[in-house]
Amino acid sequence: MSDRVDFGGVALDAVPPRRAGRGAAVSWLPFVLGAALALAAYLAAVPLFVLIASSVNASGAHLPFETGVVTLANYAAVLGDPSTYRLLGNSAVFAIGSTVLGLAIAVFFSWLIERTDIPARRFLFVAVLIPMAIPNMIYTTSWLQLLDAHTGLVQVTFQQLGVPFPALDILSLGGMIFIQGIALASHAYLLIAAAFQTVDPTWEEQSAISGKGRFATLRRVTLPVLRPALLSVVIFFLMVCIETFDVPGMVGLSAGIQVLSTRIYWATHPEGGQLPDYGVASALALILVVIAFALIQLYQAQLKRGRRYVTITARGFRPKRVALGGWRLPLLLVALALLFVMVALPLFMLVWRSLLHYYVYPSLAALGLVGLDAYRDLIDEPQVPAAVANTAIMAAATAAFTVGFSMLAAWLTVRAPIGGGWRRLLRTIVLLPQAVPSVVIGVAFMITYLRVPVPIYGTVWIIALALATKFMAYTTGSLSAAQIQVAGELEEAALIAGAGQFKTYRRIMMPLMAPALLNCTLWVVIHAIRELVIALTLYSPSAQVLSTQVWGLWQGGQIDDLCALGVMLALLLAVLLTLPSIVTQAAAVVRGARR
Amino acid sequence: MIVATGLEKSYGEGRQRVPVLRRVSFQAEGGTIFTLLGPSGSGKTTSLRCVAGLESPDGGEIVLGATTVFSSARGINLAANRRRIGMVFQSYAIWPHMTVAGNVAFPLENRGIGAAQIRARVERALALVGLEGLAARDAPNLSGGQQQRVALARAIVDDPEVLLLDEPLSNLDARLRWQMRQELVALQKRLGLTILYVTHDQEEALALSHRVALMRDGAIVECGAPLDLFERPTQRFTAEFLGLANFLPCAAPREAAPGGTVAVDTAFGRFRARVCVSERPEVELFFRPHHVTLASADAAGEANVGAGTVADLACLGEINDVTVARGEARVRLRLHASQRPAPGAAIAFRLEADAAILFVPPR
Repeated sequence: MSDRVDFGGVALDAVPPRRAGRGAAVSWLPFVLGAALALAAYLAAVPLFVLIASSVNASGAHLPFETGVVTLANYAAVLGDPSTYRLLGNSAVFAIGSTVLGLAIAVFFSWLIERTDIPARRFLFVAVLIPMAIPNMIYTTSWLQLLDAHTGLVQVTFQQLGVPFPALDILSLGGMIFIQGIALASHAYLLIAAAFQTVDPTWEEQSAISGKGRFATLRRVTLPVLRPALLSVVIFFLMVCIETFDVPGMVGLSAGIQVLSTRIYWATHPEGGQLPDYGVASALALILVVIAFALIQLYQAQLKRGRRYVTITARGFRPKRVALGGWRLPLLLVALALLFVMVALPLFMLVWRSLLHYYVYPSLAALGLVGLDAYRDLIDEPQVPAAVANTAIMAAATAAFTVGFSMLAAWLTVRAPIGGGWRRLLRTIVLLPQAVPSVVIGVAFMITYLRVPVPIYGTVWIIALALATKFMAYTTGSLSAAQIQVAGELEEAALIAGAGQFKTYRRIMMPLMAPALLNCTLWVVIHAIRELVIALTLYSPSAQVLSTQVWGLWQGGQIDDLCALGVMLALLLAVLLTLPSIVTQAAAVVRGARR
Repeated sequence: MIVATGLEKSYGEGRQRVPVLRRVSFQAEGGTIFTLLGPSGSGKTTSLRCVAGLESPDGGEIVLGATTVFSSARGINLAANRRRIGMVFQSYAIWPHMTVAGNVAFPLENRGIGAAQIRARVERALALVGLEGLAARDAPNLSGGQQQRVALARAIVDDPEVLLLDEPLSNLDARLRWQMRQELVALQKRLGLTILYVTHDQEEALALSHRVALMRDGAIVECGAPLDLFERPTQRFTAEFLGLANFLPCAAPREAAPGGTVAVDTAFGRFRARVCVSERPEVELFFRPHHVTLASADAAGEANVGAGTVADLACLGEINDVTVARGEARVRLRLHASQRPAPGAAIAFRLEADAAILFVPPR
C-alpha cells in the first residue's frame, strides 16, 4: 500500500457550506487567489495533461513528444496485448485478496479492543499499531527472509520440529497478498476502530435481551450497523492496494509477477538495456487513473450514504463492553498469535538480520556471529549520510510546501471573502491528485520535467514537488476541517480589533489550529520518508533519498545493510508517530503547572 | 454618530437571489443607544455587520462620525480593521488561547502603543467592567458573565467611535441579563458611548434604548423613541411586536381622516380612537391590555366602556391577566392583583382616553 495513514478524502467533503463573512475586499486577495490557483493547477493539472498528451503521442523508443505525431497506437498496443489483461487480473486479485485479509484482521482487533472486555487492551492496542512505524519495503524484506524457500526461519523451524510445512512460495501473488494484507491491517484498524466507537451499546443490549448470544449479536447487529462505514473502508483500501507499489514491486522483482502499478514503473525503467516506452507507460497510467477515479467516486458516494447512518450522538456515551466470559482466554490467545505473526516475527527478523553479515538460523551458537558491522557500514558508506541529508531536505521541503500551501488553500476555500465559484474551482483542482496514483504522479512528473526547462530534474526538489502534489488533497482537507472548527466570530473579533488579515491569521487562527498543523506536518514528513515509488521514478544516482537507497540495497542483495537501515527508519518513524501525543501530554503538564 | 443610508444587500445568485436588506436607513446620534429590533431573519444582524465591515452591502452609504466607511456611489469600502469600532459578538468570541489581559490588550497592539500604557489601559477597561484582578486568568476559565465582561472590555479599550453589540445579553440567565443591562446603560452614560444595539427582545430594546428601529423582512418598519413606538405605533406590526396587544375587528367608520379621532363600534362597546393608516387590509381597534380599569356594571353603554363575561383568568402575581369574551370576540386585560373578577361573571371595563388606535387600510 502507499502507506497512507489516511482517513481518505473525508475531510474536505465533510466541509459544510458556511455563510462566510464578506467584508471589504482585500486589495491583495485577487493576487493571492490567482497565485494559489496557478500553483495548484501547475502541480495537479499540468502533469495530468502532459500524461494524456504523451499517451496519444507516437513514442516507441522516442522521448515523449519527440515525434509530434498524434495517434491512438499506444492504446491499441496496450489494449491489444493479452498481458494487459493479465496485469489487470493480477491487480484485481492482489487488491481484493489483501483488502479482505487486512480488513478481517482489523475488524477482529477493533471488535476485541473497542467492544469487549478482553484483558490487556492497552497492550493489544499499541502492538497492533507498531507495524505503522515499519515502511512496507522493510516489512516486505523481513517477510521475504522469514519465508525464504530454502533458509526461511518459518520453514526451517517447522522442519526442526518435524512438522511438515505446506509448500508455500512467498514469491507469488499469494505471497504478495499475505504481506500486503497483514501490513495494511494496522492502518485499517485505526479506521475501523473509529467506526466501532460510534456503535450505540443499547442496540447491542437490545439484541442481548432478545436472546441473541455474543457472536449472534456481532453478526446480526454490530456488523450490519457498521456496514456503510466498513464498505467505505473496503473501497478505500481497494484503492490503496490498486495503486500501491512497494510490496508488488519488491516481491514481483524476484517473482517475475507484475501488477498494473509496477508495470507502469518498469515500462519507464526497463531492465536489460531496453529503452523506456513512455507512450505505453502513459496509456497504462491513464487506465490506472480511470480505475482509481471510479473507486474514489464509489468511495465518496459510500461516505455520503454512510453519513445517513451516523450513530454518533452528542450524548457522549461510553460504549458498554461485551462480556466475553469463557471466551476471554481463547480469544486473547488468538490475538497474541496474530500479533506474533504481524509484529514479533518481522521485527525480530529485521533486527536479527541487521546484526549478521549473512543469514544464520537463530541459535545460541549464532549469537557469536552477531555484530554491528552493518550499522558501521551505513555510517561509513558515503551514500547513506548523503541520503539521510537528502531525505531530511526533501521531507522538510515537502512538509513546508504542502502545509504552507494547504494553509492558504484551506483559508481561501473556507474563510476568505471570495466568491463561491472561485472556492469550488480551487477545491476541485486541489482534490484532483487524490485520484491519481503515486506511480502515475511519478511518471507524469518525469515526462513533464523531461520537456519543461525547469532545472529541477534529477534533484530532490522534483521529488518534493511531486510528493506535495500527492499530499496536498489530504492536508488541505484536514486543515479545512480544522479551520471550520475555529468559530468565524473569533476571526472577525480580531478584524474588528484592528488586526489585518495576516495578523489575524498569525495571532488567532494559527495558535488555535496548532494541533492540526503539527499533525499535518508530521503526516507529511512520515509519508515523505516512507514513500517509495515517486522517489524511485524521479531520483537520480546523485540525489538519493532513503527509500531509493533501500530499493538499491534490495536490488544489490545487501540485506544486512538494508535491515540495519530499516531498524533505524522504524525507530525514527516510531518517534515521529508518537510525537503528537507526547506534545499533547507535555502541553497538559505545562498547563497544569501554570494553574 | 452612525448614519446608514439606503443599505441594500441580497444573498445567492440568479433566480435564488434573496434580498436581506431593502433600502435600510437609520441615524444613531452620538452618545446614544440606538437599537435595531426585530424577529430573526429581519436583517438586523446583517445591518450591524455591514456597519462593522464584516459584510459589504450591495448599495448605500455608511458614515461613522466624520468618516464615510462605505459608499457604493463613491466606491468606498473601508475594511473592518480600519473602522475604529468596538464590537461584542453574540458568542463573545473570546480567544481561548489567551489570558483575559491578552484578549483586552489585542486592539491596542494594533495601534503602536507602548507596553506600559497598554497595561494601564487594559486595567482601566477591566475595572470599568468590574473584572479587576482577573487579568492573568486564562480565557477558557471564565463564567459566561465574565466572558461577556471581557468581550465588553475588549470592545471599549481602544475608545472606539461606535460600539456594536450583537445580542450581547441573549446567552445569559435572566437575573444576570437584568444586571448586565443596568451596567451597560451606566457604562454608556459614563463614557458617552455611541452604541448600535441588536436584539430580538422587545423588553430589552424598550429598557435601554434612546431610539429603536423595528425591522421586518430586511426593511425598517418604524423608528422612534421606545415609548412612542410602544404607546403610539403607526403600524400594526409595531403594535404587535412590542408587547401584548388587543386587536378588535370593527366596521370601517364613515369619515376616518388619518390623525383624527373617531368613535367605532366593537363587539364590546363603542370606543374613541385615533385613526392610523396601516399596511393591513383589516379595520382593527388596537389597545394595550394594561390601559384599562374595571368599571361598574351600570357604566356599560357609555363611550370607552366595554362589557362581556370573564372567559379566563390567570393570576401572575403582581397582575391578573383576564380574558373577556363577548360572542366570538376576545379581549385581554391586565388588572392589578387586587382586582380579581370571577370566571363566568359579567364584567365591564373602561379604556383610558387616548389609549386606542384604529388601524385602517390605505385607500
